[in-house]
Amino acid sequence: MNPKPPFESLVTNHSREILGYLWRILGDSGDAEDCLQDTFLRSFKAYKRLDGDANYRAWLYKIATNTAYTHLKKRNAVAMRTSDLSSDVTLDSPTISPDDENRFPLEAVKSAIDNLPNKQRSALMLRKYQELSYAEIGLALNCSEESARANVYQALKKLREEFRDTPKDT
Amino acid sequence: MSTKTHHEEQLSIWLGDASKQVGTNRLMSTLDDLYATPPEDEAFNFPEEKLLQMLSGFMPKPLYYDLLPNTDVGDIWLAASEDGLVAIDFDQSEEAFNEYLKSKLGGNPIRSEEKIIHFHRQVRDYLNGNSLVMEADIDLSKLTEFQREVLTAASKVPRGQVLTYGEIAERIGKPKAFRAVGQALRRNPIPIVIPCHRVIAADGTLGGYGGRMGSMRKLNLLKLEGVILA
Repeated sequence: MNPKPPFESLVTNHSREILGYLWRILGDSGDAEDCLQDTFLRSFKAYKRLDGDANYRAWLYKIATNTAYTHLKKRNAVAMRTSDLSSDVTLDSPTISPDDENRFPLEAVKSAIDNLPNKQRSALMLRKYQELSYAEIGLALNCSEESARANVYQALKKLREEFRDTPKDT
Repeated sequence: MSTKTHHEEQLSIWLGDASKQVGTNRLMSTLDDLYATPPEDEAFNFPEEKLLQMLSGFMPKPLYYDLLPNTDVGDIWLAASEDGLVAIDFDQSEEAFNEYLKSKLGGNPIRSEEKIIHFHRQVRDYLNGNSLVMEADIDLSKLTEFQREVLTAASKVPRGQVLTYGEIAERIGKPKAFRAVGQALRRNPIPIVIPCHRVIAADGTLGGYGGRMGSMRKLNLLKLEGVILA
């Protein structure tokens, strides 16, 4: 078993990217910051039990993912209690902003992302914006490498079905 | 084998799964607008510093240690926090001393000659008989109030003199607690610097045969200081 690096080095090397990931999942900087603290507190407590050969980065993403979805569940429960308004957004026929043919409406795409199953949303963000390998995504999401890849492509398939696109080659 | 559609190919490239460069499409551009760059706000300013500060209360403090080998009383391990000396032990393996620093003192052991050399010099001077007074800063924060009282009283016994356990108990205002005084001295984490070897049994024998000091070492230190036991 390899000797483990000091926990401080995990904080120094990975906190910024984990914060970025939490922001991508939660959509709010303040919530992301709160969850970042929870993530590192949880991981600090669990660190002594972690195998020295573990993939520390993927392990941190795993804890961050669990922390984020626990937070989302609480946030949604509060929203349900405090609001009669439906949060559903109609995404069947997203409107295209007439003055920007290169973008879909940001809110509509964001809602579509938020409505993806958690695993698909995480897999997509981990692959595209956190630049994890599929093997690492598998570790972070507790699934196989194949399943990690499938989740990414399923997410994109759903998004493409909702936002039909005309290819624009350079 | 299915042939990838134009869309699929674009997505593979966008994900980093393929390398061929083609134009981006609206969905990808929109996703990138939404998620590629986190906002420039307070949460993203030095998150690592804020975390380290938050975790500092939970993290083991660094304990620096080093070996003073081959002295008249054997190999001596010394360890210090940023606040002062926390432990001295004799003839231990490095692993065993490390384990003691971790499990008993809750520290994060780091071997450092630089941080310990000041204490090395003082102990070496003392063993050479050159220094009568140990001036090392000591850190007893991990001990109980009673242990601190006993060790502080013991540290006031001058070189060349001895007191009994009962006399220490009287000095701290707990004259009946001489057995507890013996226990506290036996667990003295910084022998030599806190001279528990100068506290002996009322019948003039060494007392405190166990613990970190050991009887031969205790006797050697007393001889070094010119004390002759009856």
